[in-house]
Amino acid sequence: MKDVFKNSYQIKLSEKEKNDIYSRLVREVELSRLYTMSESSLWEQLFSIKYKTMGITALGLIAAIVLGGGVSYAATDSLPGDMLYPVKTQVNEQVRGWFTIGDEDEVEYRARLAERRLQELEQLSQERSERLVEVSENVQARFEKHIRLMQERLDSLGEEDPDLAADLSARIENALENHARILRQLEERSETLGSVAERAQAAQGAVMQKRQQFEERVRENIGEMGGEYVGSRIEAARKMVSVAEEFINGNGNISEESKGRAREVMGEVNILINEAEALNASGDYKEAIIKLQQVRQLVYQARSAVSLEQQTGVQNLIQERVREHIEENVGTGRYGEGFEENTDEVDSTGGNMNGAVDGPGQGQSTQGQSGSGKGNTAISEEI
Amino acid sequence: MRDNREEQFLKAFEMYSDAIYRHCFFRLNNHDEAVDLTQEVFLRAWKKALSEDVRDWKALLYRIAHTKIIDIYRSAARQKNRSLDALIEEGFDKREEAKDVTAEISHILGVLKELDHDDREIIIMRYVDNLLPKEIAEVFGINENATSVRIHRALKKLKQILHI
Repeated sequence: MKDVFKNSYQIKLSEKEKNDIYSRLVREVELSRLYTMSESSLWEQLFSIKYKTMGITALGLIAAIVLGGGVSYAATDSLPGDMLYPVKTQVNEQVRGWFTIGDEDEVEYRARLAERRLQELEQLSQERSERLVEVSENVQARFEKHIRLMQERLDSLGEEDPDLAADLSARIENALENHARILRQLEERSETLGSVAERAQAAQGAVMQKRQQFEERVRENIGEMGGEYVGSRIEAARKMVSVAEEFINGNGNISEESKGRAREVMGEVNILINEAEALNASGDYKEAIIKLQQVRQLVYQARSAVSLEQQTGVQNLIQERVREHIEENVGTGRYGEGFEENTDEVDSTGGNMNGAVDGPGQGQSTQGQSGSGKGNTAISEEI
Repeated sequence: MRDNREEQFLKAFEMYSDAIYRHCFFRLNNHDEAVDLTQEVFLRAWKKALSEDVRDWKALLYRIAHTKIIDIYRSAARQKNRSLDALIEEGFDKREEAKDVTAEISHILGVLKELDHDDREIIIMRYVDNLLPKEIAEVFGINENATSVRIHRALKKLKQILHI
């Protein structure tokens, strides 16, 4: 019986695909190390008791700085990272069980795929702009498909947990906005990117509307939850600011100018928190929560951009790890000639058997090794 | 401790990435979806490892992949306004065919298509993924004996189909 299936071993990842995924995983590993360095659980307290956080907030504020002046980051290596870089590792595990896949996971998953499509186009414009027009419609259609599926699940999540849905929406929204901005900056390379930017912007608008609906729902329910709940959020927000201040003041790698901008952002956050406190004291929970939602928005705007800072920070490490990985495997037969043959064989198995274009932070790492993955450069047909 | 965990994780990628990709490919019948899903499975496994000690990476990876695939079916069912059972009943043969696969792979896909969903799952796990009955039992959350019985039955049907 094994003979019947023995050829199934032809089916394997191409070298390039494997390297791409590997780079992505190394990035995740490095970033999780980065996150755990700073204080955790503040975000959790601030925005949802269900969250497990990794202290991204301090970095979020720093990013506000980096991007505060409208810094141009059209370059490939400065694309924002993942749309939904996990601020949390898991949600409400007891309820969801060991590996249950829920709406939230699906929203994240679809958003990641949608983002990857945008990254492909951004990357293509840098490296193989001649292909852009050819593949653009197809990639855009897939982008829209993922956005549509993501929205469906977002709606369903919003029914059960509007606060969580609002939180996810805020992150997706900001990431989409960043991509739209990048695409506009790249537009001069190809007009096609202008229409992609429009689609990204439209998607961002749609997600923003949803967020506002979810936030409205949270505000409607806040009366039942009372001042204590709002109070706990305010307290958490204060802690977040103090951690951020400590981080900024103690970080020698940040210029004085950037530190100044960071303090400005925190000043704004502080004002909002004070206002929320006053409103909460006078029993106006709804208005208080509006202020806290603004805080969230402010921090997320910075946060989605923070991948820039994160990526720069960990990029060298990643490149090193990937280089080591390749050096270890090339010449050991792991990526030897046999592998290449197989790669071709797999490639020949389908017009859609192509590696996606490198995502940001990966392209550099894998360049130079990807040449052997023949036929791997086209954008895939259907995801 | 953490370094050790990172090392184990990246080593697990080295060891199981092709296998997990294959697992996904033979269920989704689509290369790109399978590549995306492979990455997703590993990302999820890493998240899992951040919160708890992972003793058996292989089992974890297959469990995540299995669950995620069911979810993809569920998503498709929702979209088509069909019940999950109905969609699974129809099986993946209703999905778009993988194009231009080699004759051998096409043959395997053809053979698998003849089986119903449960039999197909178990045959893929046993003969494509090369998992032991014990490992399959873990993924399905059933006991090893029951798994062996299921493998045996599926195999019998498969032999009938193949006239061997």
